[in-house]
Amino acid sequence: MVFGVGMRVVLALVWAALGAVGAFAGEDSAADTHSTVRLISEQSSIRPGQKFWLGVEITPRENWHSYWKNPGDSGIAPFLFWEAPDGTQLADPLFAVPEPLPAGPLTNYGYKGPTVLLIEGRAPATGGPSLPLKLDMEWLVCEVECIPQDASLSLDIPYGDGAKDPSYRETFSAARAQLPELGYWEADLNIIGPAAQLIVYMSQREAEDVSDAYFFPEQDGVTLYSSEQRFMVTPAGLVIDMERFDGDEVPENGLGVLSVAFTGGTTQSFEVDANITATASLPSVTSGASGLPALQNPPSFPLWQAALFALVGGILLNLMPCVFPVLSLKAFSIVSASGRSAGALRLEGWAYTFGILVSFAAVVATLFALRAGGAVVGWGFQLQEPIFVGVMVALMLLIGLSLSGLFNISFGAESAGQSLTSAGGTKGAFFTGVLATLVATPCTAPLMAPAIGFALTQSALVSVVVFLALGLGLAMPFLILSHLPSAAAALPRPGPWMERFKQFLAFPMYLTAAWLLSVYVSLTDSQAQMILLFSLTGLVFAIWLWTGTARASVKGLSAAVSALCLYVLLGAPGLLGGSSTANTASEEIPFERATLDQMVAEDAPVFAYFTADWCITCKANEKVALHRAEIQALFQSANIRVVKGDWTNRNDDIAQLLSDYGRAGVPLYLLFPGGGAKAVVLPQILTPGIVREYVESTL
Amino acid sequence: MTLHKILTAFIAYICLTASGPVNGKVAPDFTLPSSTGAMVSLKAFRGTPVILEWSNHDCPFVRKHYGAGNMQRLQRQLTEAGAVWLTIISSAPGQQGHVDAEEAERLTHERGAYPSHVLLDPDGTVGTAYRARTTPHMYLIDENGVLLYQGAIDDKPSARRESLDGATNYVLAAWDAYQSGEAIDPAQTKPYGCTVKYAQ
Repeated sequence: MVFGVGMRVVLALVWAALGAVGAFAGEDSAADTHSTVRLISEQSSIRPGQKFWLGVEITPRENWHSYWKNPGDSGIAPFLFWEAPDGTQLADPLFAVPEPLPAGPLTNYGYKGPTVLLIEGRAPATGGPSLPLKLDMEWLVCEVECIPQDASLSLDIPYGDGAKDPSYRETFSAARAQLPELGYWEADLNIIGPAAQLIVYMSQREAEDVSDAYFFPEQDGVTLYSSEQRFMVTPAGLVIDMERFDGDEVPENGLGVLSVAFTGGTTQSFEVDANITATASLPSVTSGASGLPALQNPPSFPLWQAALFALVGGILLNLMPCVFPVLSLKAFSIVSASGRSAGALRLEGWAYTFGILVSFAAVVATLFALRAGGAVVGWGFQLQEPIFVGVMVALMLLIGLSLSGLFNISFGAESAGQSLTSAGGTKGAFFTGVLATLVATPCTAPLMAPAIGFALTQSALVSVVVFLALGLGLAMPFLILSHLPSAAAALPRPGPWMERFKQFLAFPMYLTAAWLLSVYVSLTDSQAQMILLFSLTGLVFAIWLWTGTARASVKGLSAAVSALCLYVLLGAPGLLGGSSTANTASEEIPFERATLDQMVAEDAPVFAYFTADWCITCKANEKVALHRAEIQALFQSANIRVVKGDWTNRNDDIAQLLSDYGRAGVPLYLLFPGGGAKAVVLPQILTPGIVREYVESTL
Repeated sequence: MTLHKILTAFIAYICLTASGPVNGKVAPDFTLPSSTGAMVSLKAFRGTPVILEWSNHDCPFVRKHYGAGNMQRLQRQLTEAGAVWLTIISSAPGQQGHVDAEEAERLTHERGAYPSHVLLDPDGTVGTAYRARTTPHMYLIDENGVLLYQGAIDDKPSARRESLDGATNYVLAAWDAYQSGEAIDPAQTKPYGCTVKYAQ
């Protein structure tokens, strides 16, 4: 299959032996059935220990093609096997930028015309009069059919002054022009199940002229080669979305070539070495409608999986500090239920479940109603309503006092009291479920953010299914208990310890009430707080009156007092003209979308944080990290401007930004390095060390 | 926040599902006519391990393995060890490697091949379902229908016969690991050979 090699080698040897510098034929060529190859040396002589360059030119027949180093779905990259004297270094070949070559449903990467592989070499420090190089190569050419080719080539390059051979100058400069340019941008390659996303952090100025872009990955498993790639220009840079096969193994690296067409008509290609992350969670950036870097929609997963996740989350809710006391009461009712029939217990279990589900349905319905009305809301939206918070303070306080034993609101099968939850049997169980949901909402936001974030971005059906599964999970432990008398029997025996334990459980309720009170103050003002405290006192007084007497007149007085107090409590925020603005530290810039967009585009870095007074995590982070003097000093020394978004009251801009980052609630911490670069998202739990680490690694 | 991490890992786990040829998952089922005119279903072989081989008799890479007797040896060895070997031809009519039943039979006899069945997939449905890209492209499926290996037949992507010397046969390695209950490594390799000649 190899023609003329022998003669060429002989000629080369003869010339080399003659030492006729300049007469060295710096090439050897061969032809196989469907292509020819040529091995060329850029220099007519090389110097010992010095660098030199070789080229291997592959010229397939017309309409046939050869392959890039990653040939795509099929095909094979050229294989070079060198024989050279000891001490000779020959690097892996550099490939020209390929083009996608579709073949039916498959796509290959390769070259339709001639292409030159460039090989950098280094001669041994000492040697004979010349450097003999022998190359055995195999390569594949295809039109539709594929024909493997092979050849043996050799060059014997004389040692000398290292002068370049003018006859190959054009070939080498043309070959170098075909190579991808060195990439100088950072890049991320996110592998997310059936999708992959390449983010090249070029500046917006560079990116905005891009009219087309394509990524040639070096590794399998990045993309389905035949699928279309979609590119977007974002302030963070260029983003390419690719489809991939979810079953493929995750690639080892993010190497590849990025080809970019600019509006001026030029095309340039760049080497890319992207940091690879394989994740099933949120990818980092795509375009935000508003111009800020934003997150892609959370990955979609099948409905039953979302529901299952919500169910597990619901079960975990039972352990929340403000839910547990309420549920303990329910547990007491089961413990003390030994006298009742199994059927009645089961009915109660279902009534309790039903109560929870109805409450969750009400929450979903409210969310939908608000969204339909155009309001942007997230989980915890109830806590932006002062009246709701005021009522919750009262509720927590009353439950606490009842647990303490000030008055006897009893639960389940115990003797009658005044609360609906005490109504005994099924009705009582139903309202215990409602109560559980009600007290659960403030505590659940941080834990449930992923599921709720998912649910809120989905269709109505998905939202409803997820929320109901969440409710079912919350109800699950008692539902199971009510159906398993043997399990109930395993619970501790009722006894005096229950009274003591109940009293202990009052304290989490008082703490919750205290925290809600501080939320209430931040939503309103100190006057409203005073009115709330007066009406709470009145309410407790009314209940005390009621429970201490059997006389109708006193009961009437009690009812009147409590009605008045409730009226004042509900009316207080309205009477005082609604909410006040939250206070912001002097060096912090209050969040506005337009301002932030502008600041992010400037050179200096920006730290943006989103908080709310009712968000305990946020407050804790501010206390232990953000507001510490050392962190403030760090911000100052790094010239970081701080933007604070306060979500204590509802704010559509903040809600929009949160959803851009795939969040349904606060906290959210963003560090923008400046110059329009994308934000680094900090964890939801901060320490001074974490903040410092992020600042130092980002800037 | 540990709880949060557990929940995140949980989502990640349930998201990792895909349809298609995924190692560790049940391989896509199919029913194809064989060269003897029978209809052959993958599902019918539950209880028996199955090898799938994509083929195109005119492809030089296929010719390397058949010409040197390498493919026949592997077929014989594995079928005698209890495997079902299905050779599948996905070349579209008019394309290289497309054969009718009679021609397929003739090729099997002429080459002394030992497939359990040669299956004809001229519209490429099964090839597409398995993402078969080259000839040869090999798959090993266990007795429960679970895919264990997919990719190249060996580690020498060459059409030269000499390349068979010292080559590591991935299918045989996967088979041995499967028989001895060890983990299969590699379980996925980049297949090499001619492009499967699907309809253009």
